[in-house]
Amino acid sequence: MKQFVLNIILIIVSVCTYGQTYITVYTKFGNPIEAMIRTEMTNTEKEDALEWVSTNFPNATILSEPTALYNCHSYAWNMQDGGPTCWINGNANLSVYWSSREYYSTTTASNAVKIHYYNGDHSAITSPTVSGKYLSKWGSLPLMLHDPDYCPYSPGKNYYSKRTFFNNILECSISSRGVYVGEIANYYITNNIITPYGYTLDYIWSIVDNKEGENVIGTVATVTENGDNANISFNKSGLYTITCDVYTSMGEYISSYWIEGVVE
Amino acid sequence: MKNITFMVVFLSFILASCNKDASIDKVDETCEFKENVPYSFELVTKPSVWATFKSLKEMQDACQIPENWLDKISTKNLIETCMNYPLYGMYMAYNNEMDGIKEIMCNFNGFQELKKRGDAAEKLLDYYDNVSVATKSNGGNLDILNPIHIGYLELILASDEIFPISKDKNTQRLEKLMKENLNEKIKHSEIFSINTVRKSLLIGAKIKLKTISLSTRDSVLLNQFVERGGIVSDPFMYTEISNIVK
Repeated sequence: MKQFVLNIILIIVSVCTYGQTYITVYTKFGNPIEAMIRTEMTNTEKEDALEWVSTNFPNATILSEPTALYNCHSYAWNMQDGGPTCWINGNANLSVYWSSREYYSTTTASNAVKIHYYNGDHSAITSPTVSGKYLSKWGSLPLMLHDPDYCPYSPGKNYYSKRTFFNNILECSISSRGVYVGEIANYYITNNIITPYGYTLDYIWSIVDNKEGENVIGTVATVTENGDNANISFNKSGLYTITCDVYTSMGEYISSYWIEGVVE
Repeated sequence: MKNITFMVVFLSFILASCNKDASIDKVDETCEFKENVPYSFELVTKPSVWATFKSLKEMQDACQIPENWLDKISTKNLIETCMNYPLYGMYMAYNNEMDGIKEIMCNFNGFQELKKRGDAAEKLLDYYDNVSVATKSNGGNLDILNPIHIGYLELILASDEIFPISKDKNTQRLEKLMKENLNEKIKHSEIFSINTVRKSLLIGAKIKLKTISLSTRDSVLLNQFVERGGIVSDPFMYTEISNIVK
């Protein structure tokens, strides 16, 4: 009986010290992702894990100690984009990152910045410093620099890069990358609109947050209109549709010009 | 000129034959069955050989037990061979370690052979009985496994692939051994974190799910625990699971 009570006390004390908690992290465009704050390994467990991986994957480079605090998906999709240290499980939870209105879309291996090993439930990023190699966190094992197939996962992969602008005639002065939060960019119509004789043209600008579907001028977006162009800045990252509707001064609709802009 | 050409071709033929004989001898040496010992991975795991493998598949292929060993090796030695499998630590690379252990077992023919053995469960228990998570200071006659290795063994037991958990004496024995190891781990929390403790709880959860009648709540709790490879949303759920398991 005494031993039984002692065991229960030991378990209660230990689990109060151990354990993990679910939290929510967010994608670049504000979509929620379920994540966990996990309990760290002991030094003995870390030493054993380090010895195992260094012996069995000698051609990969170990970049950190083993840790249970974060995993491959969190490293590649969350922490690389400024998210907190945490553990993210895969499957439906993870696919939010490359859903149709999110920051990443599918691409080829040569253009990829992020990789998903769909059979191995694993994620990686392309190394920014070593061409042809990936960086990935191997579960509770260390963060590793490795050849794409030199890792403990089946080889089937999908590749992702940052989504490009969706553009229909409205151009942006910053076209080689997404616009940063707080940065002013100029959006302009390149077409030469023929103005009906005796009239002038009115340009009506609107900006919609693609996730919420709401008009964000004055809240998220600050707009300085200059007729057929406007200087616009955003105070929040996301995917927005910027539209310029053109009317005659008599209120007759002529045409619309729009662009989907990535703000990061 | 013709004579020189003939001699070159003839000598090449002789050399090729010698090399072929040498390679056959080498294959014989590596594949020759040896009684009373586990299969050794030494020839493929020595650094000069292992470092030549460029992918997981190459490593897995190199580690397969030769066919002429599979039906001759004793179950006891087969279990030791499975425990010595070089890629045993791979389960730690998986987000759900139950998926990781299944990946290991699916890709190593030692486990496929072990599944066929009628005495696999009993011999695996003998192995589990003969190891300890005790710290080195405890001494004793038991083989001490490091945390990763004991985790590997307990995941194999929890996987239900080799050891069919049911209402029988083997399962009762497994439960007893699991509780002993669980208590040892909890006593030495400086060595064993929840990451190792939960593998014992996984065995316990599987046993309870299959051998006793649980309340709906307990059944849901334990099923979720098993599905998620021992990871829960609330630390205090480990207390509940421990209470059910013990």
